[in-house]
Amino acid sequence: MKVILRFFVLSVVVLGMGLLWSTTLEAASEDYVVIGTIQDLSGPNALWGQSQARGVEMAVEDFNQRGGLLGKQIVLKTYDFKLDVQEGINAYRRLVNQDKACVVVGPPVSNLILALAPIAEELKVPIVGEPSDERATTKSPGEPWGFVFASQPTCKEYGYTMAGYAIKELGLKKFGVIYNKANAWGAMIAEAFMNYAKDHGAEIVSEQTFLWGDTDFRAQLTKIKDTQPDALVVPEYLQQAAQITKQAREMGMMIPIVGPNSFTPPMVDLIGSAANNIYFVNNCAFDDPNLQEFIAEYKEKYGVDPTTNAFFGYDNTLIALNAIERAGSTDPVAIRNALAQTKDVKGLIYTYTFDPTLHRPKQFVATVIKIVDGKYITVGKYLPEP
Amino acid sequence: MLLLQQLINGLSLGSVYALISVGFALIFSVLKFSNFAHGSVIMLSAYFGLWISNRFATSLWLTLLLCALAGGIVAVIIEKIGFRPIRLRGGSTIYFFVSSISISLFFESFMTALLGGQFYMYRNFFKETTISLGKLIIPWTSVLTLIVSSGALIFLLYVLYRTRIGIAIRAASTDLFTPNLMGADVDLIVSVTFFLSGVLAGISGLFLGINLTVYPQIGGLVIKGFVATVIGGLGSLSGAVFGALLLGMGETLITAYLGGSVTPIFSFSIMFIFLLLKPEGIAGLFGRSKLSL
Repeated sequence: MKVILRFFVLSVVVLGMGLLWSTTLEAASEDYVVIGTIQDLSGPNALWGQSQARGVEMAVEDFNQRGGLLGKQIVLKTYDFKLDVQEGINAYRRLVNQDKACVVVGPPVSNLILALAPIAEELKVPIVGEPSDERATTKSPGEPWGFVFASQPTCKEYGYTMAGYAIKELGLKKFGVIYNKANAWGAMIAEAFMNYAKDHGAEIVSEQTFLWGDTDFRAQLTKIKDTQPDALVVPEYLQQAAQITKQAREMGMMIPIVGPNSFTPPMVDLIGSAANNIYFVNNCAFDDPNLQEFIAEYKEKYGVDPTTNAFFGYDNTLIALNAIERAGSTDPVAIRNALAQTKDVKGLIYTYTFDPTLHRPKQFVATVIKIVDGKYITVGKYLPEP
Repeated sequence: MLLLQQLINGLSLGSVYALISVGFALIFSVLKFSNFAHGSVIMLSAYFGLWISNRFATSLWLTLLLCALAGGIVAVIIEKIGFRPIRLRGGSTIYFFVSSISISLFFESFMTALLGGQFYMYRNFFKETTISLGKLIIPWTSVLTLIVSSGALIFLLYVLYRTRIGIAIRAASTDLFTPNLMGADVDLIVSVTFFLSGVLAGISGLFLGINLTVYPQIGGLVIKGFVATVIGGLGSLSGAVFGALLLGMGETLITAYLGGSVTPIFSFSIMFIFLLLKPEGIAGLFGRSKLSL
């Protein structure tokens, strides 16, 4: 009897709590503008994800301080997807079905958005992220995915800029390329790099691949080293790029390393003395005057330096909130239509105008940065010849 | 020359796998289950070594010693909390297995919650990172891994064959019940077995950390140890060493000559082949399957 009574009391309490929680949730969706963000807060890209989540947070706070949006305060729901596509899809569904978010910001990785693009078509809540893989925004040439928007250069633009700069400005001719076959972003950059290099008189002397979770790259690097390239090309996310760079230097490969924006801070802190003779393409220069106010505010608030992702988190949110404002409602489809007409939205990194057939800006000019003895030095903006 | 360089890479990788797989096999030989909590000991030791070497600027050798000790102690504690109650209750091996998986998931999530998914690098212990032998360039860490792994395995051999407790462990590996009847303290034997396997895990944790950076999922490499023990014959120490070297060499050569994305297919198919055709592993080829080196 006692057991049954206890069980009964417990279930009433649990039910009550559940009821209370769901009513507050419902209240939230009516009196607030709910937006969501999906970030990698505890997986291999957590350093980036946390930074980006903070950027999103800061943009939302800025808007709320100025009186919110459509006369309501903005509520931000953040989910961690641990760089796991399945978790990310669950988070998107939860944001749409339970939290009733009207727009989803982020995440930065192509793999997840590639998977989300068709799902968003069905659930009809727009996503504003920065997938570089063009397939994440383009369904077929000339036809974009309906509900995905991107604020970053494509892998092609990255690959071309890296190759153009290495060949034309640094005068390098022979490249060894190592990339993760399962990482859509890295594989696409590698492909663009190799195509551009071959078309511009350079040679790919060795092409090596690996997979997620691989940690020992000495077999591949030995292979590459044997072909005596002028430079090593590493289009990979933070952790594996750091391991590759470190292992290459440990094996005595002191040749220049060419990469995408994964070499932004905190890379130098992670690889110590290996951080030398590295050239990489980034979205912005850290000494850009446009960024200084944000950087100072971020540092004061969180006690650490922001990574490039924080700027993107802020900008993506800005683009999304701007669209809600122009749509004049929290109806996701109206927001989607407003997003497609994004024009001259001034962010931290760029001023964004989306091409309606691409769902991303038409052309970017990237910045080349080099690392010399552990110091970041901005080389300048660079646009490769076609 | 290139092949020689790759063989050295493979040997170095294989020797880390050997450290993991021998610790793994040691537990299997006594308690007859695959101890995935071994990965937690590796991961915790890697973090411990990182902390101590950054905080106190300890030398490599001191860090190694402390990591080995810490690994041993953690393994003993894990056994006391996670496995001993099951053993005293006479639970079946499946409970050990489930418990070991729970423990490894617990520690992985715990570290992720505590420090986030960030990864950390060890500071450089050496000024020069490579040794040049003519055209051969060998990373210091590879040489060191090889030397220390061999040293640790010889130490284990000594303990198992030249000390009373070693003889007791070997007896227990045949049968955990009979030594008890003869007055041996089985709890102590099991504790020492876990301590020894923890020492190996501590050393492998440090080397994995130095080679690969430290992150919460680093203990997942225990799966390589598992594959190696299956190839070598579950429970056989010499088999574990051979299996690990074979796996390390195989992975390196496949990566070098067929490409890195094919390697996991190789590792797991070779494991399947052994499971299906030769479940007693390499050790079985020589007709011995009990704890032997």
